[in-house]
Amino acid sequence: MSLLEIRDVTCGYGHRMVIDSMSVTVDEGEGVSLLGHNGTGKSTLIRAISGVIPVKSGAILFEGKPVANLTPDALVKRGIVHVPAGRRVFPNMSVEHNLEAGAFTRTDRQEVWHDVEAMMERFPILGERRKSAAGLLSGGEQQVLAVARGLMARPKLLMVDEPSLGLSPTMVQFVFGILAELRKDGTSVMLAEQNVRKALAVTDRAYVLAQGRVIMDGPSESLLSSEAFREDYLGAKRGGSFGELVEEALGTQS
Amino acid sequence: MAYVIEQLINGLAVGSVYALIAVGYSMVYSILYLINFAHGDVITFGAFTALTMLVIGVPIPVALFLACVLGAALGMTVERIAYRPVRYANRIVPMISALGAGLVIASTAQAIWGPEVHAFPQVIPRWSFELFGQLIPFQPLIIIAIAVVLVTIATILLDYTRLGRATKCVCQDIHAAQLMGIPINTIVPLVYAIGGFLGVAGAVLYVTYFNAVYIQMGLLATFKAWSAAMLGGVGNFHGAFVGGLLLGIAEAFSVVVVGSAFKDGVSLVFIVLILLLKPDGLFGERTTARS
Repeated sequence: MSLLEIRDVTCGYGHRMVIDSMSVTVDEGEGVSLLGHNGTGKSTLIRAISGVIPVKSGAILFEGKPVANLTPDALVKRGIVHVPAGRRVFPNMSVEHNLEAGAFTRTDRQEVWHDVEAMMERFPILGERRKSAAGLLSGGEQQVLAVARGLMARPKLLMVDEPSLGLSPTMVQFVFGILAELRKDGTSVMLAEQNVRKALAVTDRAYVLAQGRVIMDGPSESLLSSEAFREDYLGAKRGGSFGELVEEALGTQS
Repeated sequence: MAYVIEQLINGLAVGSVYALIAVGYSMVYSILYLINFAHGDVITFGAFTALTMLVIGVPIPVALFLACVLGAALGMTVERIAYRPVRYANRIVPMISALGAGLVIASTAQAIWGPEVHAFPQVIPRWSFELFGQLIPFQPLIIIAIAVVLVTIATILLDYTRLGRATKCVCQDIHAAQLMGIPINTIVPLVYAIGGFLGVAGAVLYVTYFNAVYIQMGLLATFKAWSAAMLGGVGNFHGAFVGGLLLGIAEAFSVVVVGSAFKDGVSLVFIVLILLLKPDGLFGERTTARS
């Protein structure tokens, strides 16, 4: 049984549907990427799973139970945590209170502070700045904080939306290092990314989205070696600014 | 000198009343970027309810407390009916909805209590005592004390309780707060409740101090409290309080300098000056510049 099963889900904003009858699964302990350009529905799907926008039709099963259209707080309690794009840390709160906020739904208050300490040790860049306002952190530090804040809820499934957004290449490297570590620890992760290569490196499987549909899916390695995928998403032929960037990355690696 | 001290005490008293009302505006604004135009009318309604209860003989503390509770309930009702359905719409929409809600409440109050100015019973006696040869009025001091106690309680609740901290999260980023599993449809009404409670407390003290309650005071309260909230930095709980005190003192001294006819204009001058010189207010929190 899959940890998360999305069956023929259609959803969007108001009357405008962005996701058209999409099916996606994430197994226990698995890392899954949602890939695609801007506006293909990656974030929209994640928002629907976390209950921020309504699911128009179809089913979402989590641990075998239907969870579509539950409220976000009910979903967090069940173990689905969404780390939003653009980090969205609480700017005027200290790093440690941001972490505490992530554990809002937990009732074991003692354990929560124990976990805060654990996060400080695990991510020393947070430990060094624990008393400073989160808004004063650098973009990369904020992204680490956002992921750590998500982990504070002790999620069964962590959904990370566009963690590389607006970060310097060094920070992207760092943040993906953290994601790789999480994956090693067995955390189930759903990752929406435009940085295809980085995303595939830290996940087992990927879905490629275009215009609200899954146009391709499979294990990360087989996608990387697929001719069609390379052409469209690693810019082997088509170019365009996104493609060119990846091509450049490929060029330096080969 | 005696006159200056007297004006200072009066200014602080009126200022702490503005502060109580401003806190409600400031918190609501920080969550939804909505100027809650109905707030002034909610608190006017609360003040009238207190008047009626006092007239029919409800003991003073009970009447005042019940009026504040009614203010909280009314604040929550307005949120549920007028704001929640348009919460994520264009900012203009909730603002119009707020104006409408304010009109409904003000008209209802007018239908019940009439358009005339009512005298408000003295719930705090107007004694005075002598200190170092200076006659100190008793009532303003009590008003200041009540305001300080209420704001202190609210501060403690916000800083040290789980729901209070959740409220701070919602004030800073409602969408992120939602993703933390914070039930925003519990927290947002709570904020309106706190605003309504403190606002009615402020309104009752205001009408006691000026010995008059009337329908249009809602609008006046809106101007003053909004000016106080802006002065302190909108979204900043303590800033709103300090802004209220400063406005009160400025008004008191404007009576000395330019005459009482211009007193009500002071808050408007403040609004213009703040917008021109320091739009974040004196204590505006802008640590978000970096992202």
